[in-house]
Parts: sequence; C-alpha cells; structure tokens
Amino acid sequence: MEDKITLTITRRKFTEILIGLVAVFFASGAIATILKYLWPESGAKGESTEVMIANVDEVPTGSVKKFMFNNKAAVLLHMPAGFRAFGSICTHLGCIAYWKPDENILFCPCHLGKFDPNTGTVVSGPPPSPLPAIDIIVKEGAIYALKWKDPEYVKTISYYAGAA
Amino acid sequence: MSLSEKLYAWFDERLKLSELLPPIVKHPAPEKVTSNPLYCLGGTAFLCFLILVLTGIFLAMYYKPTPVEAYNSVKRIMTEVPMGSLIRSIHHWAANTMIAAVMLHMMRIYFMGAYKKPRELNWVVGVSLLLITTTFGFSGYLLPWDQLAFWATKIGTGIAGSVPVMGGYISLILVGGTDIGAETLTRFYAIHVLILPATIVVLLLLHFLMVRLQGISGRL
Repeated sequence: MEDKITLTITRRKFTEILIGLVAVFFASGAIATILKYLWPESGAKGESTEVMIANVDEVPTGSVKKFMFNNKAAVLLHMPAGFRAFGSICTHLGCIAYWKPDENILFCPCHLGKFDPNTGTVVSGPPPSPLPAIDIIVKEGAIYALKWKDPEYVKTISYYAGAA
Repeated sequence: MSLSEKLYAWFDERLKLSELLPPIVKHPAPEKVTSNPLYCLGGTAFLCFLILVLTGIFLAMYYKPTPVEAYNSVKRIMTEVPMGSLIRSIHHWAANTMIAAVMLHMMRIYFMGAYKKPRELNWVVGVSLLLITTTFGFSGYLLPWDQLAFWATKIGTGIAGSVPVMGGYISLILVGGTDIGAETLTRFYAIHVLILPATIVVLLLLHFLMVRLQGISGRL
C-alpha cells in the first residue's frame, strides 16, 4: 500500500491511447446499431386511426363487444342511452374491466373496481381515475372507433402507454 | 492387455493423457471438505444446471415461442408428447432446486468466511451467477404464456421500468413495445435459451478455474 503509484506516459504510449480511443469510437457505432435494432417500432406511433368495431345488429341494447383500440383492450357497450366505448384497462393496476349486466357496471375483478358504463367514471373501489372514453361513429349500419375522447388524459395513465 | 487398456494406450500415445489428465482429475480434497455435505451445495447447483441444459434442449424441440402456439405447445408437451410431462417437470423442479442450492451455497460461503482474500473475485463472479440464475428463472417464467406467466412478467418488467432515469428505456427494450406480446415472448425466449446460457457457461468456467487456482478455503 505504501508503494507510490507512478504513471509515466511516453510519446509512444500516448499515441497508442489515441489509437485506442479511435477504436472505441468506431466500436460505439456498433453498439448504437444494436440498440437501434432492439428498439421497438411501436415506441413512436402516430395518430390513432378509424377502426370498425362491429355491425349495429351484432350489438343489441344491453350487450357488449370487446375490441382492440390502438393495441389496448377496449369495450363497446350498447346502453339504453346509446353506444358507448371505453378503454377497458383498469386505471388502478392494469387488469381488464368487463361488463357486469346484473349490477349495470364495468367491473374490474382484481380489486373490485366499479365504473359507470355511461360515463366511465369510478363508482366504487380503488381505481384513481375514470376509464378513458373512445369517440365512436355509427355509419352505414356499422360502429367505428375514431379516437380517444381526451388523448391528453390517456397519456397520463401508465397502463395506456403508447396508445395515445 | 485388456481392451480398455488397449484403447487407453491408443489415446495416450496420441494425446499424452497420462501426463495431462492426473493433475486435472486426481485432485484430492481435504478430509473436512469431503466429509461435510455443506461443501456439496455448489456442486448440487451445477448438477441442476446440467439437468436443466439437457431437459431444456428437449423442451426446445416442441416449444414454439409465438402467442398463438406457446400455450398450446406447452399443453401438448404436458399431455401428448411421450414422457413430455416428465421432461418438463424435471426442468421445473431442477430450476427450483438450482435457485435454492445457489442461495444456500452463497450462505455457506458467507458464514464460513470463504469470500475473504484471496477469493474476493470469485465471490463477485458467484454473485453474478446468482443474478444470472434468477434472470433465467424470470425469463423462463413467461414462456408457458398462461395467466401466471403474463402477470408475473407484467410485474417484473414494471419493476424494471421503475428504475430512475433509465427504467422506461430498460422496460421498452425488454418488453419490445409498450405491452407484453409477441415481441416480449421472442425476446424472453432468446434471452432464456441463447444469451443467458452463453453467459453462464463463461462465468461458470471462471468460477471453477478460480476454485482450482485458489483451492477451497479452510474453516474459520
């Protein structure tokens, strides 16, 4: 331990270090390439697109249809008041909520979260915020999902990452 | 001269076996080591590893890492393939036993003080091996593609994602997107059967080499 550590740099050593740094510089190009390869494509996704969910006669009043919207589980409900669509990933811990007709709620089985099927707001249970609503349009006897009603809100829910 | 002696002589003449083998194979260990089963824990872990390699190779012949086929191929291994359930169960139990053996091995090293100079580096390699072993377990857990697998991976990648600053990028590269799906399955499969085995073999070689160079530590 009491030996002094000395560092002598000769001109030759200095040149070697420089050449080594150049080698590291070029090698880092390979690392960037590998990272680029591993980076998922879906990381940067553009605007959501119109998707057909179902034909109107497939979903009579009081029934539901599950579908995928921007790669997230979503649900279309035909309430007496009309069609409604929500992202069905529970805002609490990311389980999938489903339609429970006997209680007239969207129900998350993991921690008994309950959502209003008309508005998506939390009725009871641990979910911190409502299910995000999806704008829909009915044309030519079919129902289409257009976009998130509030994309800024969807961006704040971690379970909907990449969907808005 | 018997047949086995003849064969040995044939190889010996060409490969210098009698000169090279004895220092490797004939390596007597102290009495206190051979008589104490606690010294077998590392070897138990290695035996589990060998069993896992063998059964893993057999499982890979039927397993298909796609969301549609993964669960069905595992089901097929368990119900239709002759001896399939045996192979998979052995893989399952050897994996559990290996984690237990590695943990106990580490506790033995710790409580006997066997990590002290000059064996610090072997302790470092050993802890890396422990991490590799648990990563093996984590990546293999997703492959059956059932509810347990999905949610365990959801939680695991969520923990990785909670690392400050880098977390989001780590989970993005690990999951291969924002959701656990086909990309995640193939990534975990590649990690489980290609990356980790290559890494663990190198580390095991270093681990065993250092044991031979430094010997087994004396008891405190």
